[in-house]
Amino acid sequence: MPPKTALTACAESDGAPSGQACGPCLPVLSRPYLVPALLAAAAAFFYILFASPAIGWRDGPEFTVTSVFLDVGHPSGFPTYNLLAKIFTWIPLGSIGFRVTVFTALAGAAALFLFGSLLNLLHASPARAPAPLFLLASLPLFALDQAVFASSTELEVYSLNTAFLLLLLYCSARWHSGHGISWLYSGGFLYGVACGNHAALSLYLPVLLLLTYWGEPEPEKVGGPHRHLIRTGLLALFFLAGLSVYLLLLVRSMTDRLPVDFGRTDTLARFWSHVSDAKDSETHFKGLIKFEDLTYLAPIQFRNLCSPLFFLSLPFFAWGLRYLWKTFQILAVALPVLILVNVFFFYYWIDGSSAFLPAITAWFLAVSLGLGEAGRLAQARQILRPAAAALCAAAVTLSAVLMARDRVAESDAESGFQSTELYFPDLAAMPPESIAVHDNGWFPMLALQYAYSARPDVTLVLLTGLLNPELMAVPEPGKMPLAYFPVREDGTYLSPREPAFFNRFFTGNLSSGKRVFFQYGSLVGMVMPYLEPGARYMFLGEMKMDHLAGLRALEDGLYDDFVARNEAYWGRLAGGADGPPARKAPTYMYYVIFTVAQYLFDNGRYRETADTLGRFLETFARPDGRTFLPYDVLLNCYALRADSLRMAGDHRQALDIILELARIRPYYASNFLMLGYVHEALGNGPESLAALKRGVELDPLDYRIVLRYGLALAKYSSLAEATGFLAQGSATLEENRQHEAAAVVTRLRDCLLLPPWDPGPDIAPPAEPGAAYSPAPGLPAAPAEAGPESPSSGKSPSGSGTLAR
Amino acid sequence: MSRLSPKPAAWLNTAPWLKSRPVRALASALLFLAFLAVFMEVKASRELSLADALAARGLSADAAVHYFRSLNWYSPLGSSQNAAGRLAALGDSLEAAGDREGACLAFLRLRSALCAARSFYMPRRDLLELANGRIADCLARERLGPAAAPEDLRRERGRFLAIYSAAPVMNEGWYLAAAGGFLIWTLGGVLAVFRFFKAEPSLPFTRRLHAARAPSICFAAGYALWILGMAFA
Repeated sequence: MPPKTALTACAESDGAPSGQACGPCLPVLSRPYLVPALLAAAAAFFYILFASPAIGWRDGPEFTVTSVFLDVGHPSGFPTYNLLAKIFTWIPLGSIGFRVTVFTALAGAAALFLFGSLLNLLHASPARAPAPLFLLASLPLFALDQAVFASSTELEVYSLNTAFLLLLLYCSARWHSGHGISWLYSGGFLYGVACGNHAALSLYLPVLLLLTYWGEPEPEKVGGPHRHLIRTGLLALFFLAGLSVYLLLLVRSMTDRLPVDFGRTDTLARFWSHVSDAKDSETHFKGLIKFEDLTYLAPIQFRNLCSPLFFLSLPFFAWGLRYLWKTFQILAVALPVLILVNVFFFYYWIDGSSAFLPAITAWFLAVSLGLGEAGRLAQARQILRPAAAALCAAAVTLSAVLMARDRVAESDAESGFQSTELYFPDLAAMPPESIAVHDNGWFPMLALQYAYSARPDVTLVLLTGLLNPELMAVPEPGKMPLAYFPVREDGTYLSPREPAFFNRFFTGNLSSGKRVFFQYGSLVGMVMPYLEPGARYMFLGEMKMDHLAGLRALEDGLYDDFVARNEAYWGRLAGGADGPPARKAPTYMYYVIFTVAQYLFDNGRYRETADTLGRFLETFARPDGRTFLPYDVLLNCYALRADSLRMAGDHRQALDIILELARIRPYYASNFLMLGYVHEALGNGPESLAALKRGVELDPLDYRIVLRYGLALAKYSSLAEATGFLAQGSATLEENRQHEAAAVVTRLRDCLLLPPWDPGPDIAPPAEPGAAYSPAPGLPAAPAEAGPESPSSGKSPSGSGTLAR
Repeated sequence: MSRLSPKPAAWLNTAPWLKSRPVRALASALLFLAFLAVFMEVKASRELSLADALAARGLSADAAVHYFRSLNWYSPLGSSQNAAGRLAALGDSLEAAGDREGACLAFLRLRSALCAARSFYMPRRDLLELANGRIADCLARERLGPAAAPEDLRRERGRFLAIYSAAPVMNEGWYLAAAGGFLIWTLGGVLAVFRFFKAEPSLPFTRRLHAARAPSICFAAGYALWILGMAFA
């Protein structure tokens, strides 16, 4: 039996007993699902028009690869998304990246359809049937909301997540409306499947349990006291059946044929670690732990997320909750709980409104119900005359048009090509059969290599996997016939953590004419500690090679194009004092700029780095506080700018920025390390000591700060006290990175005449500079100088310092 | 107040099969694909015009970028076909003009764009093979240098051609099994729950189980297909 809904109720209510006239019903309104379906179809077309055309930025390139090859993505793996997106990769139109984006657009449209259907269901009582126009008013506004639009036009999982959340609420509402327990159990099953799309959905378990066990519908109150136990058991069973979608991670990782195998989930232990995101579990609840940030972050969040419509919607939100309290009590509690859970969990990460989609959806639901109540009241008091109804419709249409205009203005679908055009020349410029060792930031290159098959002769090696094989699988050397991986005498492969690995890796590949390339210099810090002295020279020789053609192109042309387009965009939006408030810009912007800045920094062009970031911040972070930039990104930009100013010798200006950063994030030890550096450079000994002391208090395990504090103590205070910290820092190093310790302690020994330190049998004795370097034909000679020490260029700047001597 | 009642259109009565849900779903899917195809064509032809204009001004590198973009909006019968041909021609002309690096980049773009447009089939195999050959030439020359003997060059070219011809390798059949199996077991699971619990509660357990038999079988078969697909894809 089809559900009785507001619209069918409206269709039946000619001469309704309550005496409420239905108003001018249209034939289309008598079909409960037709209107949401039509609006969803329109939204799908609109989203596709503005969908990112290629692999996009952030997680987009990764999801392109993982959906094509059914790979294991970053935690928690996203198996449901990959399986569904895979189907769309077979559409014989467009590129693979665009096809996956089309899938997210359709998921956004499905969310809209479910939103309308749910509204329809929640207004099922004929006595409370609102005017259909009011019921439908919120649908286009929801579809055009900035977060909903953004998540439906980029290659991400969030629109599907919203669709699943609404589906679960719909199932729950059907069960509560007395449509049978099958809705509850199928909801449980789908909840399991939905958690395979984004594990954050599991956060809403309390909400869904609340919906399940509070306010049991009358027809289900049969079966004795044990019925709850049986129901819970069955629900758990169905949920686990749906959740078994995560088996994909286990099975696919075991095949050992994946371009991307995050977490290396081929054992149960690693599988669980990956699914539960154990390695980052501490940061999951950062927002709750750092509660004091809320006062600072909340206004920024609020400004980024809420448009003026928010204030208009407040009374309707309250009205909607009141309506729910009378008709659907449990949902009146569940929706605010859902909003709170979502906001408190995610407020710390202001890198996109998509994270707040559940809260935004719940908010819109309540607001829509409030609007429905307004319509009902207008009907009951007979003030909803045709003219008034037309006025309301015009207001809604105008709002929708204005929102659509904003979305169109913000949208820059063409920019979706930029990641491809940034990285393609890099990959294309690689010499034949070279090896590219890269980190997660190079996901666009991974997408180009595997989804686009750009350079099959080039071997991509993910450094994270190379150094942490427990975190990410590196395809076995046998699967990489084009690169040489060191082998022991017994035929087993050497671990990258073994001291000889990189030395032999370089020697083996370079001597056979292959050339090894690294992502920009942050990797110096990650790789250097593992290199033997001779190999370090080879490594630096490679680093000096001018291979980043793509970044050069970006620096020369794309960057200016990029800034010009976004300045024009800002001009359009801001348009003087009366312009509409600035909203979040497309996410690609800061990735491009930050990549350029990092590239300049890593090449020692500190003044240019500072200027680039200064121009960027001036353009996008306005003094009036209105900003396009997500908060974390803003702070990252300021931190890199401060560091580059420091390296360029502009300590005074660097100090101003770092002091502000330390004020904003008083719990970030790295801020105090930088502060210590700058004070020291300015000759402010006591201030430097105080800053470093605070850094040590915050993170006593960060050897960089401990050692720097030791050095500062030696310089400004007592050598005896300094020795303790230097020993402590060295001990930490020794525990964590034995080889890194060797370099740092050698350097400290030079500085402070500490007793000689035995690096152990694994470490080769320091060689004369260049002694072990025998470059392959055509390779440059060993450089005389290494890059300067900097907190921004990785955890271990000390290795390069040793080389400089 | 009178209300208009929904009446089926007269033409629907003449073709009752149009009322069936599968037919409507199929029609919706075709409509959607038609929309996508038109959208692709508009985008592809715009990029193609831009690329042609750039090529006419002698800006070959920029033209190659826009031919590549045009191919990004690939459709089997659209402007993107012309873009593929013109990108190949651009590569040829660059090579003839002695710009081997530019030619190699153009052919790499052509190859990447075609591979990114692959589905169950690889579009424009003729141009793909042409691009593979030119890329292999280019890499062999770069690898061996200008003074290489012709025999060495030929051998090296053959080696690179083998690498490029072999990629990308996809067992799409198994991927289809994995994705299709997933859809089947998910829908089968939901249907089985509905069939079982929607049945009259007074019915014996076995009768209710019988009611859910078909979707349950779908669930099990889909699950098995899914596992097999994932294991062998």
